[in-house]
Amino acid sequence: MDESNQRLDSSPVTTGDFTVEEDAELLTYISWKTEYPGHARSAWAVFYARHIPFVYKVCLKVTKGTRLESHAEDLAADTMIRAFEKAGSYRDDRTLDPHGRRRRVRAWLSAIAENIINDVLRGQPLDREIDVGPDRWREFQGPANDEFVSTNFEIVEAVEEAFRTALDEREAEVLRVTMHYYDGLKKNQRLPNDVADDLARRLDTTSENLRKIRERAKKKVREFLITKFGTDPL
Amino acid sequence: MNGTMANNKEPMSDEGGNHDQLEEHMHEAMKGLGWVLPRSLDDVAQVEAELDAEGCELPPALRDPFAVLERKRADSPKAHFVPANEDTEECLAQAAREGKTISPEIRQKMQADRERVERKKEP
Repeated sequence: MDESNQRLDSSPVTTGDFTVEEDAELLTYISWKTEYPGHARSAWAVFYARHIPFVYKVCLKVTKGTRLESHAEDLAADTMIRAFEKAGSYRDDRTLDPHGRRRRVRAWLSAIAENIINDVLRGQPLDREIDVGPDRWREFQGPANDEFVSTNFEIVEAVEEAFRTALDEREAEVLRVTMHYYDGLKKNQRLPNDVADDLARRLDTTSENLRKIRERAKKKVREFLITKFGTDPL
Repeated sequence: MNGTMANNKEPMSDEGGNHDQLEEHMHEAMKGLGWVLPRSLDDVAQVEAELDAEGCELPPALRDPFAVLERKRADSPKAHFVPANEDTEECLAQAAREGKTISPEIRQKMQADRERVERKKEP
């Protein structure tokens, strides 16, 4: 926490209705925390109240059933704090309608949370500074709008069922961790070595065996689909 | 997609064809289960719909936006040790590296720096 945050804490809330401001404007006010701490404080209160339920919800969902399950609250808090610290790095898209712009901010917050999780998976402490400059911002945006979107919801639901019923704990954990690094636009993606080593250590196996566990899990999912549909639906 | 996650030199998956589609469906399913975080605007919309339908009660520790900032500062080890300046830090590091006893003069300087930082931190 830098010195400007201390100044922010003791600043009075600036009068004026910040609840009517859009998220991008609030983030701009927050980024002025050194020059105009009163405005930043008011903007932060509104921005936080607007988005913390969403952030906490996704943190609960993504940590459920994992070793991070008891840390959903910490993850949500860290995500919001990093948004506070890096507010100036947010880039708005004024071509979107108001709902789209709100969702864009929330996708940005999710990307911050995802980066924190990936840091934790790499064994980094939660309070490590992260770079959310222009390069990382592009990474945050990722393949969002070009991603694969399945039109066959029946198959997706069956895959969900397979995850819940056909996989053992170890197989589910390997799929879950590797999918944090999934990018539908890239070929031959690689799990970072430090993440693979940590995962292997936790599962009491070797990095080489992770690949076999993953393939076995996929095979089980496929067999589940064939059994359910009577034929291979893919 | 020719396969997904891999470790070291080998891809995690070396099967092609409709296994690529399986990877994509698996990723979609994980989004549905909340195993991966929402990335696209549609993903966010899906979580928002769940939030509207189910709600989400915040734990007490997350209800106050300023308490969250304050709690983090209290948790952070950086809040407990603020080097007065780079020279001081370098001197201490050098002393530690060489295993020498810290002289009374250096100790006095450390104390003065610490007091100055503490005064600066006070509102």
